[in-house]
This record gives sequence, structure tokens and C-alpha cells, in this order.
Amino acid sequence: MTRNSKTLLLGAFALALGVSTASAQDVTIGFVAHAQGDPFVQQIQDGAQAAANDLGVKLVVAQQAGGAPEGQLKLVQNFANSGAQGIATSVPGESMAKGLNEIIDSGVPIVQFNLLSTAVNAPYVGEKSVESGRVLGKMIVEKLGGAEAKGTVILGNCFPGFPVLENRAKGVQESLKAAPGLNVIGPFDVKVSAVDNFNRWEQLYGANPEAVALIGLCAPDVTSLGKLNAANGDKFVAGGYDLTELNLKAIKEGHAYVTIGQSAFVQGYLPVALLVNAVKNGAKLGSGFHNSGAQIVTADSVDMGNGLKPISFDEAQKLAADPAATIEYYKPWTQSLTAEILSAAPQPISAESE
Amino acid sequence: MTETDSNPTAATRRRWRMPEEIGVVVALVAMMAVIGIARPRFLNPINLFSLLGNTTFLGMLAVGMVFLLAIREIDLSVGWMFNFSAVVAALLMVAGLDPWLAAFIGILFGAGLGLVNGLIAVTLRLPAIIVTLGTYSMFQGLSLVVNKGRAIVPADQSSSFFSVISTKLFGLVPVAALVFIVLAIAMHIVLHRTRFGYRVQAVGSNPEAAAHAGIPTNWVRLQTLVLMGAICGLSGVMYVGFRGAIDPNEGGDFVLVVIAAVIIGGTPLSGGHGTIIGAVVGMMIIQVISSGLIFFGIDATWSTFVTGAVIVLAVSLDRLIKFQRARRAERSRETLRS
Repeated sequence: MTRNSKTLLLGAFALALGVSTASAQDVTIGFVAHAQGDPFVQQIQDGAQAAANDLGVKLVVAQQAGGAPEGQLKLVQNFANSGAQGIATSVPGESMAKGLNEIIDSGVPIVQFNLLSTAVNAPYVGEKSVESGRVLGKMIVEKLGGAEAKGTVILGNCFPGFPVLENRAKGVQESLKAAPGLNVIGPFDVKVSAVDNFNRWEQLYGANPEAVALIGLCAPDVTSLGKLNAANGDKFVAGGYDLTELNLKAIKEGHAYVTIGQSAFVQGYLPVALLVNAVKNGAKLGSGFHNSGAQIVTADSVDMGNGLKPISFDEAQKLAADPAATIEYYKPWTQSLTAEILSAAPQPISAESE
Repeated sequence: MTETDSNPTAATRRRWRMPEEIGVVVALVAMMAVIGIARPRFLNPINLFSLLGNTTFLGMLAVGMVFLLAIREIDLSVGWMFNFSAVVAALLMVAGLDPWLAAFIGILFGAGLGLVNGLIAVTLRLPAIIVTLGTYSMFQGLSLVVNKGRAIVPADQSSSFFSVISTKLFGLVPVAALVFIVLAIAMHIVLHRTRFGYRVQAVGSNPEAAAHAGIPTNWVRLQTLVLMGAICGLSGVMYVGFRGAIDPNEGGDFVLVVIAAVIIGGTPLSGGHGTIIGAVVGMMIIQVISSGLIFFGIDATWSTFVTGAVIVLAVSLDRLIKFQRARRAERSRETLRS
């Protein structure tokens, strides 16, 4: 071997030693998510980590910046090849289905969360997407004056093509039809990064200054719309999704009206609990739907779903910012997850989009 | 008789000259060895062939990008040419066309997209990077219009097109990966053994000198961009065959990875030269890093940094080797002169 080759080998070896921090535990669960850095996805990850801590397993997280199915599938395959006993993953595209089913057939259980493909033979933990859209649309119509409401409503989608988001749009549009005087335009691609998202909404409002309501379908929208409303004298009704810190701040300050939560903690916790139950107790994981529950938050009321105790808006804000407080708040729910409940048959997958 | 021929030692050295890709090959082998020693499961053939399979679709694009960098061009629209070709082919399959024929049309469609890039670049005398900055969004937008923002999944996948492409020989080796390897070998020969390849490198090395030498530089640029489009088309239709579907957002994040693989492999941004082998190895390095991070259990919050750091390390080591080789060669020349 040449001197140069030795240098290379030593360099790579030193690097590997430096990064080799894994500790040995009995069960390793892989957790693969999209949109790295997104606060909502981080809340899901916090839920997954809480489950791993509670159940005494090791959780390894891999994420990609965007939502490309091929990149996500590679991460899942790497986990399967590395010997992870179970894998929880969001499924941002149909082209992952074939590869995921091959992994499932090889004996590695998989649970989908947040984004799904109905072609994957694995359970899905998430919201009832069309129904949550209906709830959001209904609240906006009521805020605008009910069936007599008039004006332009702009709809934005940060990831056109994602089935869950398309379903939300469908639900929103369905509810908005209750007011025939509303002219709905979109859904427009409003991008997912905070900067792009705000810019897109600003452009859309600039082109439609008469709009009476702006509705987003993703986590960054309420924050962007709140900023936009504040800069324009709070002229429109803003609504969207997810209980992130900044979204709640926009609502508290009166620049946004409503945000629909999809129980991020549950979407992280339940997949890990299902996988650990499958690994330790041999429970079968087939296709099916586990409803993570919807949360409805306005400045005046907070409904956290899942039969959880009522809390004030300030407490909801604290939960969004503090993973430890969230774990504590969800304890009655996490403690209710017995092996029997986890082994029970889920709803049919079609229930997700009813 | 030349000067070196009269010196047996120098002649021997010339005969035994290491290939230029040796640096990245050693980096790849070293990484795999280190990960394999610490995590023996990494060297399981199932994992290694899975890595090869993961290299396929982006690797094909990297092979085409070598030609572009060699001619001092960059095509930013590769990911959406991949996507748009795959969408068109998949829609034709959904419409009932024979999947093999639909795939062939998809490749031609990709070449057509490359032709659009080429014609704009040549007629307006614009660098491809500027043109494809625009066509990046054009192709994405048109693809979204055509697929209506939804995944295209050919319902009938009983055709041999799907079974052949997604087959694993001996249960291990993906046929798609074999096609990639054959493509890489063919393109290596095209770049280094054909008149077209010499012309690409001549134009990239010095466009003015190439024009003075009678090389039709615009024609060569056009051919190169069409070749890139056709390779994107091939990769796209193979993806449909392998995965059984194409999603509306697939391909959007490909371009940076493709360019990174080509540069890691040793093709300079300054043009005039390219290495297909290096690009393939560069893409494999990226896949090995991604896999290694998971085998070592490194959390997502650190993995992005570590990925970048290992790429910088691999490129640095490659450059260090090349620098030392250049110094040795210089010393040899000085010795011969003295």
C-alpha cells in the first residue's frame, strides 16, 4: 500500500471512530422523516423519542431536507440493512410503496406516519385528512359570516401532490361551498421553507388584495399569514395547520384566526409503540389507519383532542415550546397504551380520507 | 528515441502510472473498510448491492453531467428532465401503450427536452447554466400540469418491462444497476475513445482554439445537451420500471447531488477533462456516507454536517494525492533535466 493510501485509510478510520457513538441496546427502531428542520416534524420526532425512552429501546433518526420519495426510501433501506428491528417512516410518494413492501416482506415491520401511501402493507398513524380540511373550512366560513359570506378565498399547498395535503384541500373546498358567494382560488404552490412560504403568500395577497381569507395546508402557513396580516392591517381571516410555537404566537396576537393540530406527539409516539409491541410481543402489523386525532385552536378555545384534559391558550403555547412539558401532558394518554390496545385491529385505511 | 525511452526507470514509471481516479477509489474502499470493520453487517452482499441499486438513477445523471462539465457547462434541469420523461412514459403506460414502447418514447422525450436546452443555449449564445435555470422551473411546471400534481402509477404492471427492470439477478444484483454499469462503460468509451468525446474535451479545454481547429463548437454543445436529456429520459423510464410509479416531486433535489458526485470524482469545473469512473465512484461515496451514518447510528441532527464533512475530507484527500503525484512528476522531470 502506498503512503497516500495509508493516509486515506487512517483519515477515514479516525473519522469513523469520531462519529461512532452508538450504544448497544436490545431493540433499535429507525425513524425516517421528511422536511428536516421543520418545527412540526421536530414535534413528531420528540414524540417518537419519548416513546423510545418510555419503552426502553434505541431510536435512530434519519431525515432529508425535502420530501423526495427516492431519498426517503434509501434511508429506510439503509435502516433495514443495518439491522433495525422496526422502522417508522413518513411516506411522501407512491414510488416508495414497492420498496417498502419488499422490506416488510423481508420481515422488518414498518409503520407509516404523517404522510402515507395506501399501497404500503403497513399501518398508518395520522389525521383524518379530508375531515380536518372540512373542519378548517367550516370555521373559516363561520368567521366570514356563514352561508352569506362573500369574497375571494386563497388556498395554498406547500407540497402539491402529497395525498394528505390534497385531501385537506378537498375538505376545505367542500366546506367553503356552504357559502356560494365565496370565490375560491388555488390551491397555489406556497413552498415549505419559511422564507419561500412567506414570499409566495405575499405575492398571492399582492395579486388579490381584495381576498377575505387566506388558508394554508402546511405548518409554516399560519406564521407567514400572521406576519402578512399584521403588515396589512389585519384585513383577512387566516387559517391553517399545526400547533407550532410561531403559529400559536400569530393567533395570540390576533393576526391569524385558527390552526388545526394533528397531534404531532401522537404521530411520533404511536408508531414507535406499535413497532415495539410488534417486535417484543410478535403483534402483526397489517395495513390500517390509527387516527392521531385533531386539535382545534383559536385565541378563545383550545381543544387538544384524544380526550386530553382542557388547557388554556398559554398552556398550549408552553407545550409547543417545551418537549418535556408535552411528555408530561400526554402521560395519561401514553399510559393508556396497553399491549392489548396496540394489538387491536386498526380502522380500514380508507377511513383516513373519509 | 525519446528522452524517457532512454531512461528505463522513467519508462517503467510511465507504464505503471496509476489511474487518476485512484484517490477517490481508495477513499471509497477505505470508507467501506472502516464502516465494515466497525459494523460487519455493512459488508453483507445484500447491503452492498442495495447501495449499488441506490446509486443507479442519480448515477446515470452523473454520467451525463461529466460530459457537460467537461465542456464547461452545467445543466440545472436534470432532475426535472428525469421527472418529466418518467411522467410522460408512465402516462403513456396508463393510457395502454406497451410499456417498452412508452419507455422508448420517454427516452426520446428526454432527448427532446435536452434539445430545447441546447437550441436555446446555442442560438442565444447563453451558457447552459443560465438557460437551465429557467427550464428547471419550466419542466417542473409542465410536468405538474401533465401529472395534475399526483403520482402516476401504471395500473397494469404485468408487462415484462416492470419484471425485467426490477428483477434482481441471483436475488441480489438489480438489473437496473447492471444497465447503469453498462451505460457508464459505454460513456467512458465515448468520452475517451471517440471523436465526439475528444471534441467535447477540446471545446471544454479551450473553445477558441477548438473553433480555430475546425471543431463545430455549437454543434458539439448541442449534442452534449441532447445526450444529457436522453440519459435523463433513460434514468426516468428505468425509475418507473423499478419503482412502479413516479411522484410529482421526484427529481427536484437531484441536481446538487449529481454535480457533487461528478466533482468528488475528479472532473474539474474548469472543463477540458472528465472522468466517468470518478463520477460513478463519487456517487457511490455519497451513498456509502448516507448508509454509514445510519449503520453508526448517528442522529439526523448531526448527519447533515457529517455528510458534508466527509465529502470535503474525501475531496481533500483526492486533491492531496494528485498534488503529491504532480510534485513527484515535477521532481522526476527535474532529475531528468539535470
